[in-house]
Amino acid sequence: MKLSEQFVLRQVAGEYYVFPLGEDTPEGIFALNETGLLLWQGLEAGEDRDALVARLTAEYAVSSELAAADVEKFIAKLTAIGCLEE
Amino acid sequence: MKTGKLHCTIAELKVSVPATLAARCAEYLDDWEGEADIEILEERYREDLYEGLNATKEEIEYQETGRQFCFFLMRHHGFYLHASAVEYQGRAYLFSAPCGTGKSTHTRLWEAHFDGAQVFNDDKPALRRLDGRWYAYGTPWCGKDGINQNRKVPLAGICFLRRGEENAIRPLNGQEAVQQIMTQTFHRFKRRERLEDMLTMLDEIVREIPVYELTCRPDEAAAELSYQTMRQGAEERDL
Repeated sequence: MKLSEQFVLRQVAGEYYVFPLGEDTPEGIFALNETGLLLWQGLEAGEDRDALVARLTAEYAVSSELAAADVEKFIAKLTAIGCLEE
Repeated sequence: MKTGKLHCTIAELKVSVPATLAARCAEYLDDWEGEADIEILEERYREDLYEGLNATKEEIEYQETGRQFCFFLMRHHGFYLHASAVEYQGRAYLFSAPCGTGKSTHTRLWEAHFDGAQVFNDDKPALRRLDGRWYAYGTPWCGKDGINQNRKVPLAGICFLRRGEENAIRPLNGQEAVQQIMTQTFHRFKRRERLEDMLTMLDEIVREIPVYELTCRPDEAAAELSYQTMRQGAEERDL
């Protein structure tokens, strides 16, 4: 999994957003909550699914099952908009 | 066809424009010397964008010169907002919305309702942050009505308009302000550095300038509501 270089993470007025770059990327800016930011940073570091799940369980009191479901949801969302390449 | 160049000062920047823009730029002509901060060139017009759109030569020139100015403005700590800008009591209030929502109608209501209120740009006012303050400037890109006054006015607030049955105004939170501003200015960039420049300014303006959403009817009560709310917001922040 690799984050597309056509999206830029940036903090604006205290919150984190992902902004599309280029003329062909889909419209739309999305905000990242704490979990989203943590996962984004993991993806930036080239982590795989297991490492992302470990990130969540290390930070929050959640079961691996729940964390794995969150990771899948996040990956599905990013893949759908072309943010994440296989 | 090559034409001569005119020297203008727009938003406190030295801008060189094609001589065909003389009438539009009349208020901005200036005899500065040396290198331009922004050079608007006919050879950069992207006429391919207008194929099949039945645009006149003047319309293409308006769009393309405006696009170049707005793009290069971002190198000088400034950006444009698609808005109608009104000055009242020494402050600039900007009303922004997609075309056809009624920005101009709303700012005309300010002119009718408040003695001394004046619209100074009706399409692409420039915003720049200088010495820690935001200013709104008139530009030659002023929309079809041609309201085009060369002014520099401290920015008091930005308001996004929606049509509605009842008049209501509310402050936008950071996320809403970010989303709204980005839909009404340059937001598609090929190069990361250009996007970063824009986001630096977005960060500053969202933290420093109050941003609202006004749902309104086209009546003077809407003007009274937006003025009272935005003036109070500006005073609270010492703008």
